[in-house]
This record gives sequence, structure tokens and C-alpha cells, in this order.
Amino acid sequence: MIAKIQQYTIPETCLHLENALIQAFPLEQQSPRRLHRLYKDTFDGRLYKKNYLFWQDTCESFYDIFLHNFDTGERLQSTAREDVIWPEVIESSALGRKIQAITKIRALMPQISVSVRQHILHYLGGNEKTQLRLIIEYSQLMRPDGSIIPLDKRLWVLPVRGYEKPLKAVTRYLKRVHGLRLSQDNPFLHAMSAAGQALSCYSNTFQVALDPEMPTDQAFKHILLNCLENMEKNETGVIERVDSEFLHDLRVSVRRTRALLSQIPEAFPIKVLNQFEPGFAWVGKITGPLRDLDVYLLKFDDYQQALPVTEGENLIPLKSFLVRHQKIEQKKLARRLQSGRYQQLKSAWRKFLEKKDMKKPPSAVALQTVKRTADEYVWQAYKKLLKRGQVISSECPDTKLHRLRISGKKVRYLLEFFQTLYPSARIQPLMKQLKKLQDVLGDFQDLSVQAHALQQFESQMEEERQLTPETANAIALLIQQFDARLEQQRMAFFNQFEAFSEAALQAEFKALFHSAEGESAA
Amino acid sequence: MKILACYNIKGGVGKTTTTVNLAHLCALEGARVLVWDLDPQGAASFYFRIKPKVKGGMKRLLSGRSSVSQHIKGTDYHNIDLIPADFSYRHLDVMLESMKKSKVRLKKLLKPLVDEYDYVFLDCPPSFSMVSENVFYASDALIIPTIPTILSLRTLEQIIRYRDKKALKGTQLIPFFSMVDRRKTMHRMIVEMPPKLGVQFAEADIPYASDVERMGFERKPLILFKPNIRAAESYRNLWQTIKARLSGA
Repeated sequence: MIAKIQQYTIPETCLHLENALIQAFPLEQQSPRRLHRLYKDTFDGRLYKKNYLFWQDTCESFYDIFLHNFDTGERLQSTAREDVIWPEVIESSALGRKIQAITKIRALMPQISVSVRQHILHYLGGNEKTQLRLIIEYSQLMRPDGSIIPLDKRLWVLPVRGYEKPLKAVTRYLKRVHGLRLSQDNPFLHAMSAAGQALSCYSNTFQVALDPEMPTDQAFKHILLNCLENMEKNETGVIERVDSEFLHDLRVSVRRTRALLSQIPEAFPIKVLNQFEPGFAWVGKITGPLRDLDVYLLKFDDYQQALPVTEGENLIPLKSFLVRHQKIEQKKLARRLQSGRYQQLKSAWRKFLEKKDMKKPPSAVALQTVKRTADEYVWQAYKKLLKRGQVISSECPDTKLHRLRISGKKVRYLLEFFQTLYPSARIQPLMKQLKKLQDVLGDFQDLSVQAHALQQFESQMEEERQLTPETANAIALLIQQFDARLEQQRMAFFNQFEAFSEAALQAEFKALFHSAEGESAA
Repeated sequence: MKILACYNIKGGVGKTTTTVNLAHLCALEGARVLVWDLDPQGAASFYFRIKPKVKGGMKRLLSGRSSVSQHIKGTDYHNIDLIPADFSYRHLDVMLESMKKSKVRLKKLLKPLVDEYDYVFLDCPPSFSMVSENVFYASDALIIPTIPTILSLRTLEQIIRYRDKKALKGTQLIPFFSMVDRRKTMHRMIVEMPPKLGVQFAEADIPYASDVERMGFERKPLILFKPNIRAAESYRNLWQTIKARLSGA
């Protein structure tokens, strides 16, 4: 068994620990060094959520990088020649691969930096072999105003595999002589709290708790405010182009907003709908081209792998084309998100959402309880989805499947909005089944849209004189593959729809949204 | 996990210095590295300051009464561990001969470590034996230090013939020139016009340098005490070449 890395917080009362250790054990001191340490994580804290901590210590011309797992006490270490934003730059290392598996397509962003004075002690055995490492760290935080906040003193005990005795001896000594206890404390959280910074608890999962007795209009404002806040949280990341997920999440918030406005318009005054629906449609429109390019670039490796090696290589000019246009669209979008039109749309929208009561309710729906509205509208949308799905045949045009996907999306959004009004154990299985159906329909849509988009890119490349016959041939092969997979996906739809429309599930939808039982379920 | 064996039938060609330096370069890139010192002389264990002792000896390990994992020792360097040499390794041939499936024993012993390490470097004893056969079966590549002399080239030919005879096409052979002394005409001639033996020499030859010999005194990889000399640069190039060959480039 490999021993875990141990961590101790050194109390103020424990003076001269380093000297005491040197007296007690055969320790060799390495010259103390000062480090600039930067803790990093993704915007949505993927490493933190899995109990990992990543940091980079700046050395002369490179970075020492670390990934510590608080559950297992394991620590991976490597060096990087450049600031680690994408784990690809360190993919040859175990650390890089581990991070990539957790962060996936999200970039690593600076969270907080500290200055560290580090004292390293080597426990030497025979042949002057290091059998244990002890690292004492004195950290401090530099505030923007230049003031310094000292953080706690920390001792890390790093075992060397196969040398358990020194570890046991030192651990026993720390406990018996200095009364030190093992700590699970996260130094990153400590630094954040000392700096008065809150940990970002951002998540793109929809989480708005609703009271079933709330009037519909108030509940909707609650939901829509959450969407607006999520849009705003993602704006800087889109403008600064940190990673593609910022744009994705911003678009999801816009879509959720539009879905609620369009599906239950009775809850809003007509004036409000006329003012804001076109506004959010515009945001959807201006963010679309960049998102499309992001998607094609994220899928580019799959495209290449789907083709024989030579054909795959012939696609590289397509990638250059996409990257070039991605940069153009990025600049355009950044400008638009900083424009007066966008800012005015948001501030007017916030003003409306934060206004307590409407003087003149637009309809009875606005005043009825949100639970009643949820029951009515989910049931209607669900019935429409079933009806549309039942008429899909193997020969029907693709557009029918696309329309069905939109119907499914409406039900999905409504279920997301209102999920807290129903028992989780009952609504979650319905959402899960619907998600499976939507995934199949989504894949079908992607394949047909991608084929069309590739044709468009091809003509655009030709116009820009970037298209070689080899690339055209590779694109044609790719489109052929999409067409073949489209048919398979249509078949997959029938299986999934059968599962979605089975009697037990229909009965559960009815019980939750269209019965006396459903009305009192929450 | 890639298994690389530093191997040659001849002794004193630079197998251990190559193992130690390549393992160190590999670990500097953040890969998790295990070195197995298979040579009973224990030179790699010496370089890493680790006692050449495997508790219970090789017999216990081969019989399955202990696992390889139990014998792994951490070195003074991040990301490098070592299975030390043991005096009992001198009987390894005899032990292997008496076992069933004797050629794949080494491979089997290393299998449980597949998720724990990215690279395993085998520092092999200079012989042509059952141990070598196990090394051939276990390794993805044999890194063959070759002194540019007629006799060394002859042993390289023997290794190539053996690999072909055993149909071990999956094992890459990566020979490179070691201990090159450019003052010697023969060394210069062979390095500049290597004979066509059906394998490609790595384009990184390691010069003869007294600093390489000093590794035994320093007990450290070369880069740590002489990072800027030509030999250190050559090891860096060699490691890059090996990586490229392993990835099929």
C-alpha cells in the first residue's frame, strides 16, 4: 500500500517546529525558497467539486505544477513551460491526463494567488537516500492595495514509497511531542476566505426552488431572474473567449428565457412580450454563428477519425477555415455583447423582473398558483409531443422529426422549470426518459444540420479560394457518412419513442400533471 | 504503460547510464516512471542510492508469494520509482527455465502495474539467456546502446536475428551509438555511415565523456549536475527520438 501525503496546520503556539524536527531526526535542509503560487480551477469548479486542488508555482522560466487529491492523499507533480490554461500543453504527463479527464472542454482559470516561503527537509537514510520529505510552508496573501494577510503555516509530510518507518516515526513525534493532528483543510479555501472571496458555486443545471402556492407571474419572474443572472455570469467569459462553454451556457439561459415567454405568454402583459421577445431572439441570432463554429471545431477530431487517415488529413484546410471564421465571429460577438442595445435589453428586462407587482394582471393565468399552471402546461405540451411522435413513420420527411424535437424541448424546459413542485423521485425518471428521447432526436438533427453546414462551408471556402479538390473530396465523404448515420439514427428514434410512450410512463405523466393526485402530489 | 528495455549482450556499453538518464528525462515531463534493475550487479540501484535487496528474493516474486508492487521503492526524484536489484537475480535464468510459460513471466509480473506507471525501464544484464527472452516478450522497444566498433555491431546483428527468428515483430529495436569517441577514425566512420542492418539507428549518439562516468560519483542523472554538456543534450535528443519512434512517427 502506498502511504498518503499528510497535512498539518501548525498552530501559532507551536514555535520552532523546524528546529525541533532537525534535532529529532536526520534531516537535511534545502535552502528556503520563495514562490508565487496560483490556484486554478474551471469556472464551474470541476476540480474542487471532485475534491482536487491544482496549483502552479512559478519558478525561473517554467512552472512546477501540482494536482492534489484530498480523498486519496495522492499528489501528481510535473513541470510546464507555459501557464497551464489547457491541459493539452501537459498531456504527456499523468497530471495533464488526469486534469483533462475532469475538466474536459473547460479552461483552467486563475482563482487566487499567494506568496509562499517554502522550507524543504529531507529525511536521509543510509547512502544519503531521501526516505521522507517534509515541507513547511508559510503563505501570505497580497491584497490589491499592497497590504499583506498572513495565512496559516502548514506542514506537508510526503512519504517515499517503500520507506514506511521514517513516516511512522515522524507522525508519532508530531502527535506526541507537538500535539499536531492530521488536517483535511484545503489551503485554497483558506486563502479565499482570508481574501473575503466567495467560492464560485456556478452550475449550468437549472436550480430554482418554487413554492407551489406562489402566483404564476411571481414564480416566472423568479425563474427568469435566474436565467438573466446566469447570462450575466457568462458574459465576460464569452467576451474574453476563455472557453466555448461560456457561450454555450449563455445561449442556454437565453433559450430558457425565450421558451418561458413563448410557451406561457398568458402570464405576461402583451407589451412586455412585444418588447422582449424580439430582443432575446436577436441575442439568440447573434450568438448562433460562433456557437456553430465552436461545435464544428469541437467535433473536428471525430470528423477526422471517421475518415481514412489520408482523407482525414485532407480536412485540415477546413479546420483552418473554421478557426479563421471563429476569430472573426468572436470579435463581432464581443462587440455586440458590449453594445448599448444589448445592455439596454438587459437593464430593461431586469427592471421588469424586479418590479414587485403588475398593476393590471394580464390574465387569470398570471394570478393562479404556479403549481396549477405547471400542471396545465406540462400536460398540454406532453400530449402534443406524444401525438406528434405517434405519426412519425420511417418514410416521413426529416422536418417532422425536427419539429418533434422542438416539441420535446418545450416539455423538457417546462419540466426543468417546475421540477421542484413535484416529488423528485417521481419527476426525475420522467425527465431521464425524455432526455434519452431528446438525445436521439438531437443526434438526428445534428447529423442533418452538419451535412448542410459542411456544404455551406465548402462553397464559402471555394469563394475564398481555400478549397482544394482533396478537401472537397474529404468533405463529400464525410457528408456521405452523415447520410448513412442519419438512417441509423431514425431507427434509434423508434426504439426510444416506444420506451417514452409506454403505458406506465404515460400513466405516470397523467398522475403527476393531470389528476387530483397530481395536484396534491407536491 | 510502455515497457522499454535497455539491452545489449555486451557489458560496459552504457546500459545503466542510459536507463537512469532516460528515466529521469521521462519523469521530468511528468510521466510516472518505474525502473527495474534486473542486473544482479545493481548499478541502477546504486545510482538511485537504493539498497540492492528484494525481500525474499526473485524466487518469492516468481512463485507469486509476493507481488512486484511490494518491492517498489521511491527514488529521490519525483515520478521515478525503482524495483531494486537483488543478488538472487544471478539465478534468474535457472528459475525461469524451471517454470511453465517461462518466456512471459516478466510480462505477467508487470501487468498489475499498468495503471500505475506510464513507462517502465528495464535495466538488463548483459547476456543472451532466458532473462533476455523474457525482456524481448515484455518490451515495446529495446533501446540498444552500441559502441561504434565491429564487435559491437556484430552483437547488434545477433539481436536483430534473434528478434526475427522469434517473430517478435511487435518489439521495436532502437539502437543508438554510445560512448562515441570522435577522435577515433573507426568511431567516426561507423557513426557517419552506419551499416545497413535493417534497423534504423536513433539520430542521437552519446559521446564518450568523463562527466558521464562521473555519474557514479555523483549518484545523480547527468542533467542534474552537468545540464549543459553535449552528452546531456544528446540524451535529451535520444529521449525525443525514442518517443517519436514509439508513437509511430
